[in-house]
Amino acid sequence: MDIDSLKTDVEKRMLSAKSLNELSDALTRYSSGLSDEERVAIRGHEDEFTVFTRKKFGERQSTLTVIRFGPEERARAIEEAKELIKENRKIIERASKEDKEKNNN
Amino acid sequence: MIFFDDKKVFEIKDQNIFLDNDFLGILFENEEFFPEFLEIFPQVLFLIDPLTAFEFMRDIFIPKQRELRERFIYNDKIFTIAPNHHENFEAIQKNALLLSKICSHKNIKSNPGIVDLFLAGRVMIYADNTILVTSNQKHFPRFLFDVVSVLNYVDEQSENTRTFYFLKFNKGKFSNCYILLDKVGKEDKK
Repeated sequence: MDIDSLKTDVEKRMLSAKSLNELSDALTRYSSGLSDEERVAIRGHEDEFTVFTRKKFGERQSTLTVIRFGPEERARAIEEAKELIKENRKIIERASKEDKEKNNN
Repeated sequence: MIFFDDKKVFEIKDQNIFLDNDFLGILFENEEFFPEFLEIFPQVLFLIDPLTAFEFMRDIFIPKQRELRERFIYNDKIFTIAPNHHENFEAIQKNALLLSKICSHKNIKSNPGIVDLFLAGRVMIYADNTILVTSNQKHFPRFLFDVVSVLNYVDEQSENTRTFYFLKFNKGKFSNCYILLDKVGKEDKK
């Protein structure tokens, strides 16, 4: 199988998957026909996505999980996570303020 | 501000990088440290052991806080929870028990807790291509782990410095510990 067509096929599946689990399931089915060399080839495109195989995790079966993190998506995810951290801090500060007030009363 | 040896990035970036709960907690507390750390490893998807995820979520009873933590840890562009199949769980549990025996045999002052033992048990399975990041080096002792690198973070507001260790399970060290542990049983039989 040609590496580029393999890459494109994988990307199409990623775009159509609604969730990571769905993507994982799709690739599990997809990978059943791949040889070891082809799996290695997928790993070669790590600039766009990473493939973990169950084989890599020391297991007998070969199941693929592909997780996409292009730079833009990653940057967006980081910004979202920063907001979560800020929100969490606000909750902690509010709780601590309430505790202080209770103690003073 | 982070101080980290750039040369080490090339050595580490292609490894599976597991984060322990202490480190994860620190990432979740600090919106400056968090992106700065991720910038060092722009293409790395950090791995979290399912028990570490459990520890990160436990005792959080305020619903909003729980929701924030869940959204943080299950962000699949940054973290991924390691597989938790029955098949590998048995192997991890076996490793964890063995590591606990080694730690007790070595009589270390600060015995690792169950979550750290399971994390070490998992890292042991994938030892060849896995790094563990922790601020609590004592729970991943030097007689089993090598320090691959150290990252220092200086909080410019508080001026506190935190140190984080990048550890790798050393199979050779483990074998030596195992041989010594095995001798204990044999001496008892004599």
